[in-house]
Amino acid sequence: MIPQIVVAGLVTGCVYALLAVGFSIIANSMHFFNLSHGGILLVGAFLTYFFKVKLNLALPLAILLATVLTTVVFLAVASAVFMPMRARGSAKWNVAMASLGVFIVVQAAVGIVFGTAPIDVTGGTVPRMFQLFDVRISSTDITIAVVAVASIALFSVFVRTTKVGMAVRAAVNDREIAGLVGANVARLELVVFGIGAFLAALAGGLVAMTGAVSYTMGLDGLLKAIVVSILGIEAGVLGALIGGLALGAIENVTMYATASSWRDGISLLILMAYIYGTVYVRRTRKNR
Amino acid sequence: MMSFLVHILVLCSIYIILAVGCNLILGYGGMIQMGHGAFFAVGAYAAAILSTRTSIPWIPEVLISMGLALVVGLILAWSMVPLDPDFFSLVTFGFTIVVVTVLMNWTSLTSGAAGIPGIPGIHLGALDITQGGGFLLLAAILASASMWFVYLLVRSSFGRALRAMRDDDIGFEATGRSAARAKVYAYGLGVMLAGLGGNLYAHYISYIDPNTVGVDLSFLVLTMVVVGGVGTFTGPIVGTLLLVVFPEMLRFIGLPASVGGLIRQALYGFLLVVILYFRPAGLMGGLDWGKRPRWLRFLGPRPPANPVGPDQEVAP
Repeated sequence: MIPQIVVAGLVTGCVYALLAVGFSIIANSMHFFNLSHGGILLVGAFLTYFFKVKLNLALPLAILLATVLTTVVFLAVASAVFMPMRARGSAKWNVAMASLGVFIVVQAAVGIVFGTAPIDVTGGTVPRMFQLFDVRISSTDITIAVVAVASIALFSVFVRTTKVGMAVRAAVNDREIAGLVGANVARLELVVFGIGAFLAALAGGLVAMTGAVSYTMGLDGLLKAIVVSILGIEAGVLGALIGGLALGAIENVTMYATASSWRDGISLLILMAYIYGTVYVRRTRKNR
Repeated sequence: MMSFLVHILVLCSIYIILAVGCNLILGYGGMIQMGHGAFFAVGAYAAAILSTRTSIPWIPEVLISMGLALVVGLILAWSMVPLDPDFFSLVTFGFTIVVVTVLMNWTSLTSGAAGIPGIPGIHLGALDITQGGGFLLLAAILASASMWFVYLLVRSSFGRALRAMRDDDIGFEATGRSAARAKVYAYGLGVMLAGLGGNLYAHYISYIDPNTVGVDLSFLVLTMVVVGGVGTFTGPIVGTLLLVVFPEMLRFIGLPASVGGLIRQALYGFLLVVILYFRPAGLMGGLDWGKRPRWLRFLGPRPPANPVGPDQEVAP
């Protein structure tokens, strides 16, 4: 039973990693916690539901359309609200608070349009199951894991090899010097925000694939994005991936051992333990 | 109609107590407080559990509510001293969620997600202050007392030290004082007020469950302070009035009940974005103590104007 649960947790963990990669590149390059990240996930998931069930499109097409549309919407929000605030030199917590406002509005809008009850997306179709030793895994889960890991890998390759990617890394490293050597830092930040939003919206589409979308998944997604990106803060993209997988597995095992209502508490306890751990360990090292 | 008005005013009073507490931490202490909901929960559950299981009078009970929030807040703040401001806010946020999770699962004490119904009203000696005007009077007195408390605290030497610490903590420590101590005390006193608000809320609504005390409440209180004006005396009060009264007006234009709460939510999110965009120092930022009318002189000498709006770096 335990391997089954761990594998299911790892699949969820892939989605967490996708969220966390987007959250942390926005935090690193634009220097604010994008609290609307959960809203991006929420919109991505509900648009996937809308395209698949209401307009009857094929699932891959629905996810693609939803992801692109969500990215465009949030790029518009970013260039209308976050970028001007940053250009005026607002404190980073003011921008974060504004993004919290965006999240609250988006969540309420989704609730008004689609209702607050969970909605079934699969429409009754049962995915094919595969048996691997004593673990059963569905074709949906395999797709989710493959798409998530492939997108993270693709993102990593993009940042490492292309010219835009190099400029992004330069801007993350030192905003002013990157500007001095001719990079358009404001536009780069918008590119970064777009990538982050794309990854989060894709995560929303992938969550919708598992069967149900619900109004509360935005806050859940935001929590996981924060937790995993802090856990992987020192180790970049790979850290986010490992952190996501670990969190997914740990959560599932604790939920199996106790009750599902412990889930959020557990992940936040892990986060607090990590923060306290690093800070106090570092301090005692310094004092020695 | 009259009872509805009283209801709104009671809610305003309770939220004012929460908002001035949050303002003490966020505005004067410069700490991003996302954990107000957790301490509201501590106060509310202390009230609920004590008054449904024991026959303790209200005055010691409210002191226990506030004391519990104070002690937990002091311990939490003390543990957060070495954290940098980003981690500080994340830990307060995480603490709220952990508290809600514990309340959900410690069913023998809190009866879990079902919540605690039937919390009795407040009895002061022979007076039965359960509903209506009596409760409003009590809540208004306590809200005024909280405002007065924060006002005096900010004008005291402790308040001056606190604001100095907020503006420049290294310079502050160079004068031989402990920034950590100022932070910890300010946090404890701020969340003590959250405990008081929680106690009143539990007695007034007479029902409490984990979903009413969590992250959403933290965000709402934070929004009230930010919209009104961080670090101003009148800001949290204006923000609270706006965010409590304005959504209630929506009831009169005949919205269906199912979307009413969501529209209210959308409204306060929208207000948060608009205020931060156009008036980053909040509605009352810069207006707070500009010119005090003659009839308000009895409030005492004007406190020093607050040069730091939130648009300057609150937390370095």
